[in-house]
Amino acid sequence: MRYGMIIDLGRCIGCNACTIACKQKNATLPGVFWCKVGVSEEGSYPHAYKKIMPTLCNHCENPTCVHVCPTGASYKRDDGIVLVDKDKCIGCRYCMAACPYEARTFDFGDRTGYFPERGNNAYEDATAYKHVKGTVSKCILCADKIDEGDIPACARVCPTGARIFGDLDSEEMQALVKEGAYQPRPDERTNPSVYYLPK
Amino acid sequence: MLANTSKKEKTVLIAAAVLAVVGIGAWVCQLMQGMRVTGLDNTIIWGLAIAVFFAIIAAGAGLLMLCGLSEYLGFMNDTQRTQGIAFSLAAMATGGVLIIMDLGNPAQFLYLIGSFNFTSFTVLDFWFLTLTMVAAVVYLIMARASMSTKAVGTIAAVLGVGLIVVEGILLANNTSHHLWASPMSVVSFLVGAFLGGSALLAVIAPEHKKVFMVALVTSALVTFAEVGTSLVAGTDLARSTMQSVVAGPFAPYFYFQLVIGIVVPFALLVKTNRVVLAALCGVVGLAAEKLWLLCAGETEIWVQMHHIGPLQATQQFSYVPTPVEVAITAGAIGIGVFLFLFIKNALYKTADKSMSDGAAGE
Repeated sequence: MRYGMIIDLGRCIGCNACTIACKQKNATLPGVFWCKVGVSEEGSYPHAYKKIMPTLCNHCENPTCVHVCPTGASYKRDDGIVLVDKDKCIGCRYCMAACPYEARTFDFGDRTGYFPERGNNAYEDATAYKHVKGTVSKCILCADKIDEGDIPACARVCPTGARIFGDLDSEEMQALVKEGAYQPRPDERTNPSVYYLPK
Repeated sequence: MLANTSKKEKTVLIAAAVLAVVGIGAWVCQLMQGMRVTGLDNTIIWGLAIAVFFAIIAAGAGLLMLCGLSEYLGFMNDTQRTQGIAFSLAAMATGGVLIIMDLGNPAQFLYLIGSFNFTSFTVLDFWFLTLTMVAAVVYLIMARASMSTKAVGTIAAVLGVGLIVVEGILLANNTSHHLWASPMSVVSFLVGAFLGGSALLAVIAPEHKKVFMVALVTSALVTFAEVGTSLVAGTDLARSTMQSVVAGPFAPYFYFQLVIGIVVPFALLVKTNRVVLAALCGVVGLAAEKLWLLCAGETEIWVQMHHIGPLQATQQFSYVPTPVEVAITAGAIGIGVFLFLFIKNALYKTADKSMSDGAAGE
């Protein structure tokens, strides 16, 4: 059992529905994006094109963040999901330096909220406990939803089905991987659980 | 404690106490408001405090190595050696204080002590620092009791070398940062320890200021080798990273290192006898070197992930420590100075008075 995701770049339209769904579900603070869609310009005229790259934590099989964590706050579950135990995190930020994918965010303690002129809304108040000042946070692959038999919010809302979630050991996922899916930065030898199917 | 101190030393003691109080106040402010009061962000995650930590540990461990070496080569007398160990101990304790002050959530620090996760170089660093300090305390006690210190001096020096190597690998272990993930990191850290240690040695034993001068030249050569190699023979990413150091947002720290950290102390040593000022410049320059190394290395992942062209990307970052960070760092140094004077006066009442006047006064 190794949960992961295959992102079909040919299907992704860069709508950011996944970004919004992640923020809604996980109540991340302003400026914090566990799931995001990077947009860049590649090539040069007349062959320039817009490159859309949805990203999230890669929940690596060999996670450097877990290896370097001095307290055991960063850990990997048996199903492959990499999480941060905020009760153990000392905020040394070594995991952020070690992660090759820029997947982690530090909580600098800014609690301005989304609409500072109106103060926090009921949802922000109800989810405030999730944020611990001075600790590191990252995509949890919606582990809580997975434990309830659901799938991650980003995959659930994707209007084109570009984000395909599943057990990477399953035949369906392996078949997709064999279609030419690649992992980001294989040179880092982290063996990410997120694959990309090229256009 | 104050009964045995000179007027100049009392002045230093009071200044150190004021710095320590201000630093602790700034730290409390950081704890209450979070690290948004620093100049750090999600790309530049380690700044002034970590740079000074590396520099001050290098100086402390470097001096301890020289004390151990003097057991064989005899270039320090007993008084100088005991002062050197005390100085080294205070420097390493300052580093320890500083690293705790830089944690986002220091209340959970006990988890680090109990984790024994030796795949983490932070854990190795903690244990090497602890063991080196314990060895230094034993070394100090035995030296004061006029016991044979060759064995313990050797152990302390070896642990000091280990501490510096671990800190070099702590940085080099981050393989996605090409600036750090190089054999040069450990070499650079060892040269830094030689520089910092010889700077402190020159304060204690000014007759050895030539060792400090050699260390300054060595440090300059290593820095130019590191920068020159990246600029001339590096990949696009390495070149652009180093351009951000020599002609970009981190250039102020690079030129500060060259001028204040190398040229000025060298000139002071050649032209004057202001050894303490030269040593201070040397150690501050070492911190500046670590600062540009940290900042430039930290931007690399962002550059690689965002595909907007390395040069454009590295130019858009900057890091300027906030007054809170400066106060915290100065406070930790104040605690270190206070600790050094405490050890020196509490344990070494018979220390050479003239030297203490000179060192503390300058």
